[in-house]
Amino acid sequence: RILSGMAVPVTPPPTSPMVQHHLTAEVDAVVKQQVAMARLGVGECGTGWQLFAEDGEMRMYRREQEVDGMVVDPLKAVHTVKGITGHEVCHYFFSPQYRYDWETTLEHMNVVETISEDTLVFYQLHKRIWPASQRDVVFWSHIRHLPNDQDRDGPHIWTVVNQSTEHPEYPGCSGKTVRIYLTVCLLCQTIVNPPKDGAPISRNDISCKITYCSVVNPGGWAPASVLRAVYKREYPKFLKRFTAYVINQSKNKPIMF
Amino acid sequence: SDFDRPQLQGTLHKWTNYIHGWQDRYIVLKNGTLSYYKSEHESGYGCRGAISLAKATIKPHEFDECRFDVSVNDCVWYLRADSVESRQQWIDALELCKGESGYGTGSEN
Repeated sequence: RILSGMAVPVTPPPTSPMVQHHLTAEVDAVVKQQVAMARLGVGECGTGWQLFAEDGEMRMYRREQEVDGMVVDPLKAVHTVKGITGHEVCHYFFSPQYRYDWETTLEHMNVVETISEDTLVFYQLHKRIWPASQRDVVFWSHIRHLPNDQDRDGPHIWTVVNQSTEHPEYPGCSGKTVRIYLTVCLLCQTIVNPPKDGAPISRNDISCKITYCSVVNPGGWAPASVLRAVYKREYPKFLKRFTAYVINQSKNKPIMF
Repeated sequence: SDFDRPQLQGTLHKWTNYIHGWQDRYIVLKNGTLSYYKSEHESGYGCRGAISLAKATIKPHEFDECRFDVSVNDCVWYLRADSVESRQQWIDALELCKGESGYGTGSEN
């Protein structure tokens, strides 16, 4: 299953109960904020999302933004994919054992810390893209299932939020690599079309509505035109490749609602 | 006034989710909005969900003659009436409400 031929390192056991961990409050606050932002439609927040890519059901929007001359354009993508559930999409996005399968830019990754079953800290070293320096990132990742407070009979929400953090064993600025800072929110809802006459629900009856929001500061410096050209090409490729991976993994398996 | 009175209300079968499937829900059409409650008894408390009809699409089901779907963008409510007549009554009221919403709020009546 691991395309790169790399063994997935063992995930360490939890260090302390979640309630006592120093990141608990931050995880909770960031997840709430990210979910609320992701649920806003692109027209609703009045912040001028610009469509930059469209392919079938997939639409990708961005806002042009720079910090100290570095492009950090926020991205918001919406997509609807048939035959898979939100739980499945989030499961494959969160779980470390699948990461080398779909994250093709990885040179190495490992779980630095298990805060709890639903919250991990990852270190990722990305492949060097010549002539740029090699990038690395440390972030916590949290998976959560939420009720739908806007429509209580309606589809529940599954989400994974990734947020850059610091870890004493992986300090940035090592000289060899440039540290990336990111905030990513993947938000999914499973739409079930009522099957005919009480028939069991099949994969033909389901689709997953996906919202993917990300803000990435690639660190270092690179020309704005180059960064924008790269993400315009890479973001659509990533979302299509990842959802195709989930479809492929899920087919012939029982539906994981 | 007329504006505050529900235009139509009653219990319909509403598709909920994969666990509970079709459930009876108390549906209220009022002021250009379709809302639902767990039951008539609970309609005094907050509604469980609501959609504005201004840009809604109302679609009778092709084969199931009691079913109709109400959608706004990618939010869809699947509803079933007890009879063909009841479905028609709901569809007519919803379409009327949609037509009116194009001409101001209706509060001038």
